[in-house]
Amino acid sequence: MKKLLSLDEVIKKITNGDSLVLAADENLLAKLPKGKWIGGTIPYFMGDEGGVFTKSKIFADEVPVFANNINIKFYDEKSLPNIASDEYENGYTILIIPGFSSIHTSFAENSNHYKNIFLSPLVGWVSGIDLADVGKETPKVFNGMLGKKSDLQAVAMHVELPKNKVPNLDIVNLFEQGNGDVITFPKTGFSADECFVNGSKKNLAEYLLENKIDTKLPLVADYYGAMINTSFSNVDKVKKTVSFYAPAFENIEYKIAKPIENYVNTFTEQISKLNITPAFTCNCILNYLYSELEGKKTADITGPITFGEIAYQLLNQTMVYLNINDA
Amino acid sequence: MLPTITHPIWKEIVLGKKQFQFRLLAAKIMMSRILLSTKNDPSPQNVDKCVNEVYEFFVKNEKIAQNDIKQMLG
Repeated sequence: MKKLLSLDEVIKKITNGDSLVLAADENLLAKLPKGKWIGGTIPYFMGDEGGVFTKSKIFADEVPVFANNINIKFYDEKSLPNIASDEYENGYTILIIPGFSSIHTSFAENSNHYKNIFLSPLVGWVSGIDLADVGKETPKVFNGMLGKKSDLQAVAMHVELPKNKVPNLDIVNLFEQGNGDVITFPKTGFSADECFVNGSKKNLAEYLLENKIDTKLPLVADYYGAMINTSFSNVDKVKKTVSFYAPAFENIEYKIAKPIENYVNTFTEQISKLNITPAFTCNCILNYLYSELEGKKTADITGPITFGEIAYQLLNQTMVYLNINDA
Repeated sequence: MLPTITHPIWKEIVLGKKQFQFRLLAAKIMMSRILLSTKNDPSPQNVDKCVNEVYEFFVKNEKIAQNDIKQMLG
């Protein structure tokens, strides 16, 4: 079960002992009783009726009833790199990281080097807030077992599956590399001034402006066949710096994405080919905004619309999904 | 059946001498990092470390990596 529910409906599920991954406005999550749940703040969702902004409903992802065990834990910047050591032998982990926090930056820049990070599916999202409140409030995560929230720590639910079930994590990224210049960066970070365009040193802001690049299109890198986006956050014409929603990595080759004519149609087409009924999904706030998804359905995929998606590492403008199959 | 850890295929994979179109997302992201690592440090110690990591990944994920393993076996 994964859908938008009322506060009372979620309270009933928690008191019933259900294991839940929740997404909602902070005021709602703060009213929930202790129990087997984790949560992150966000008021944007893909619901049964399509994209929706609401502060009066909670998106609830129910952990499959066949799960053997769950373990809920907060992680700080020091403990997060060892998150894989807490994973079950057969299972998966759902991680929620508070947006705009230092642990968000730290995870984004370093997760690929965490010990054993690829051995079991690590899926999740970056919590957010109403875009009108950016700068006034901070995104939070909630540990329902402890009844505590944080804007500094990440929260994870480790889920153990029986031997006859196998989890598989994948993404749907409609963007692919365009045919333009190869862009590389001299250092890893959420912002850049210098870059190399086809090997020649340039100022990235100047390059984007001179070439009238549509910054709604992300930078796309080819990770051994997986297309991984880094989205533009801001181009500062005065300071000549560019900021991103995920790090641009040193030694990785990027290209500006090819434009997508119709996100909803292309998405629906891709999803129908996959033939999946995911246990967990989330999609990006930038897809919601740029493709104007409010009121529009993206196939039968529902879940939170987030400030960043997690599939082993931080992603942008990408849908992530976790499928659980019979072994 | 997974090639044993001493099979030369593993070194060829981590050094990029053989490339495959893996289906598993984790394999793709991991291989991207492994290839960067061996490019920056091709020492036998690092290559062995990378072989261990890739082998361990496929041992753990053997059930869902059958398509990727078939490619390796040619």
